[in-house]
Amino acid sequence: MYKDEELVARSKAGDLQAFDELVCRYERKIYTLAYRMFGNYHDASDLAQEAFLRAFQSLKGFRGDSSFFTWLCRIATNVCRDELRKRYRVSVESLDEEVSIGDWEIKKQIPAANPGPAELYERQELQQELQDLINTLAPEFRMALILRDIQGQSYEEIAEQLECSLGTVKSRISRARSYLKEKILTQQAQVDQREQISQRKRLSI
Amino acid sequence: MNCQEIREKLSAYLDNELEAHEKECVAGHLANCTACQAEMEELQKIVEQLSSLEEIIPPPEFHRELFAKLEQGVREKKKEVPQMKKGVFRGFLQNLFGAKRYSGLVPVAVALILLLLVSPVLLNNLPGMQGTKSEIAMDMAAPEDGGFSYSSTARSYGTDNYSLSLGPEMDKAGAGYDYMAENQAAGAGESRQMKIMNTTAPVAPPVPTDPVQTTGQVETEVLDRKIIKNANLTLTVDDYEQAVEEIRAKVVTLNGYVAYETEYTTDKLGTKRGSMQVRIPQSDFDTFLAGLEPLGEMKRKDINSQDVTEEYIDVTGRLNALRVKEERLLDILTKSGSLNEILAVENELANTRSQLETTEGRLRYLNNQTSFSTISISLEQAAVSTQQVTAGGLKGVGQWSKAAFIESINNILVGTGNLLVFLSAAVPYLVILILLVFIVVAVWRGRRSRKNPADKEE
Repeated sequence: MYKDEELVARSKAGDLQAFDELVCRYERKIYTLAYRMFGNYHDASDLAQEAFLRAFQSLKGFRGDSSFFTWLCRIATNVCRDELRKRYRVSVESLDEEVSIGDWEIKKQIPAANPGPAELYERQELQQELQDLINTLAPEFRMALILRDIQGQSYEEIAEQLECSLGTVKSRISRARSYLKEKILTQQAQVDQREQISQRKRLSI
Repeated sequence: MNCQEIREKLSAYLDNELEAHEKECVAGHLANCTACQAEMEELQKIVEQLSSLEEIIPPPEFHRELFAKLEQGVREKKKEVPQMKKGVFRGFLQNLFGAKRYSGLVPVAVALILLLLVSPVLLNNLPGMQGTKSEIAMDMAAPEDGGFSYSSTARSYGTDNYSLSLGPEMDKAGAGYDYMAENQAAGAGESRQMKIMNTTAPVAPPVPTDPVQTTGQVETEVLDRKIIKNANLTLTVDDYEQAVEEIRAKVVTLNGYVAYETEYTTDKLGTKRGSMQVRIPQSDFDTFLAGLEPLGEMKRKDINSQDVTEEYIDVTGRLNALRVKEERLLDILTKSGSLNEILAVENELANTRSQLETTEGRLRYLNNQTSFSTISISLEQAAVSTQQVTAGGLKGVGQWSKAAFIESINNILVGTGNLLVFLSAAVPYLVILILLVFIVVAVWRGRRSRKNPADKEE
């Protein structure tokens, strides 16, 4: 197993195989990031590939200040952010206003992603639910949440990444989580209710 | 802190991102507030759930597609390198005609202007300068090309009659003594012609088109020699009118007279030209000539002397003989005789008298010629107003530089015209070229941006 640095050096020299190895190492993580951001496989593929391509082209500029993965993540996040913003054109300022949970839905301009066949497995229902909810988040909230809870970045890193203040990051994460929590609970309550009804029906037959 | 505030901080508390004192605050509150505790638990739960979101495994084609794109990117980059150079060049041109239009074109335009100015000057220099030179040369000492160009310009000024008349006459009047026949041939005619005929071998001018050449005839006071003196001068003066006046005044002073006078203006440089022919008593010949010197630059000076003593003596002798004959015939007539004899005598007398008249005429002519010199003055007003130009050298340079300066200005105008013509001709080509450049640059840029979506900025 080669070290990342070695592979990076070889990739810089133009060794496509070396870069391919790096791709293999990190494609899941990047793909997941992209998927979580956009909620569907198609976009995830596009953007993850885009991220890798950009990384490959920008290899010259990578000086090894950080780990390759961090740098790659940065690129991927940028790609996703650019795309999100392009699609939903929600200005950053408006998200900082005091907003109640309900208003989020008003702000939401996100079209619901169509679930693919793989996503209908019951096992993944919760996950899918979560993802659907995430999809309803406005871009800036979405990004902050994913970077925090899926990528595991620190608040500072996130602040740097999203080019905003630490306070903003805290606020966004907090609000995003609250929102999700409320939604999940509501949904689960609904599910439970349905369960109870169907159970009673089964029993009554 | 109230619950609301606490709840806002819960996330950060959970993530351990709070400041120490804040953390304590929250912890303290949580210990006492069940509502917030519940909230905290729910928050934890959701975070857990989020964290448990599985890693998504990319579909198999993901990797394949990515690799293919990477390869393509590498290939395109290799292709781009030679294109880069083209692109750079085209970009340079683009800049030249686009953004940096002004600064890029200025040196080019300057070079073009210089070229266009130089070429007409160069072209004009060859025949044109000669023309100028000839004009100026005429003001200078004659020897320098003056002969050739003077004749050419003189010819162009319509003095052909002079040259023509001079030619044949010149040949005919080979010897100095054939005056009689030519005199008769010319008849009373133009004095000019007479004068021309007088100019024989000694007067043979290098420039056949000298307007008038005569030999000043000087009758020496000393009876033993009879000399006809002629002078032929060409002067360049500053002021034609003034010079003419001065000459006339001098002539009058010396008891001479002006035989004829012509004047004409040439168009090329507005030069005034003219000739005068004056008769001055031979005794004052030298004085008069000396008096002419200060009037202007003496371009030519021919002084001819012709010794006609022998002819004079001959003519005088003949005259005497004829007179004697006449007397004798008259005597014979008085003796009377037969009608036939009288008639014969009368006849002979008539002949004699006729000859006498002719001879007397000749003598008178000789006397006239020898007693009065004929000075032919050809005047020319300087093309460029200058002072008395004594000799060539620096003064000539002054004239030359002025003329050259004027010519340069003319050439600049010509050159500007040529430049405008050239630009007008070039505009269609430039338009096509610019279009091509734009197309190529757009294609190149398009290709670059397709390759590098990363470069697309929002």
